[in-house]
Amino acid sequence: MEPPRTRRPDCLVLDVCLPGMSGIDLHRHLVARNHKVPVVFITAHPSDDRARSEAASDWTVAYLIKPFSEDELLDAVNAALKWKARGETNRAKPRRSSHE
Amino acid sequence: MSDTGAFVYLVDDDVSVREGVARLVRSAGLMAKRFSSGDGFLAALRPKLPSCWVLDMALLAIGRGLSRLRVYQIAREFDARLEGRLDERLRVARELHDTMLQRFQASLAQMQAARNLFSRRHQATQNLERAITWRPKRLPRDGAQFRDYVVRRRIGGIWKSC
Repeated sequence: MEPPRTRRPDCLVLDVCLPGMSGIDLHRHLVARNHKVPVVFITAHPSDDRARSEAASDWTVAYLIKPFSEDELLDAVNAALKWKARGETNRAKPRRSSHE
Repeated sequence: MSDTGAFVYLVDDDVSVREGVARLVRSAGLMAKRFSSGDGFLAALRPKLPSCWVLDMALLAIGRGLSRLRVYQIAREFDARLEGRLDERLRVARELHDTMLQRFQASLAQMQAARNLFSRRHQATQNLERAITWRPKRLPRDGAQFRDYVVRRRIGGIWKSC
């Protein structure tokens, strides 16, 4: 008997600071297992440059600082979905937050 | 953004952020699934076992194995629920610290400044007016920075710093 398949995410909106496994660790875990999911990181720690640099990867689309606007989030999600649709080819550089 | 049927997974331990962002994503015609932790998200990615099995008696040994597996699953679900409750309590404590305590502290400081100036009536009135109409526009960021400071120096063992 084959187990039912789980729908894979097309985009992941991921908090950097999580209880237990952090968002950065989770992202590394996904990349290591070849889960190709574009990620939009969100965080309430604007001064954490280390987390920002660790979050950067080929699959990181945006790094947004809370509080972010509706447009910032939806633009990032839209970019992630387009990115996913395009596949691995022609990937752009990660988008930077307007809070920088 | 039109209705694309795309799935956006959202992982955030703050329930208000999780709900708010999920609503926003849905309002844009997308589907949203919410998770409070990375472990919960990874569990959802794994293939799920069916909730009901029909077994031939010849497969009894396998059935016993599956029973044990089910017991193990129930134990894990219980642990996850317990952990979720603990996380929620920590989050509430952190929120109390970040918002209520600091707003109270800021208001108190304004009131104390007004009291100290009561001998000079005009300045006291102005200070009280400021205290009443004060809006903590910069508080979310200041609060986060303050929390970082506290976590690094005093209670890193309670709140995980990432």
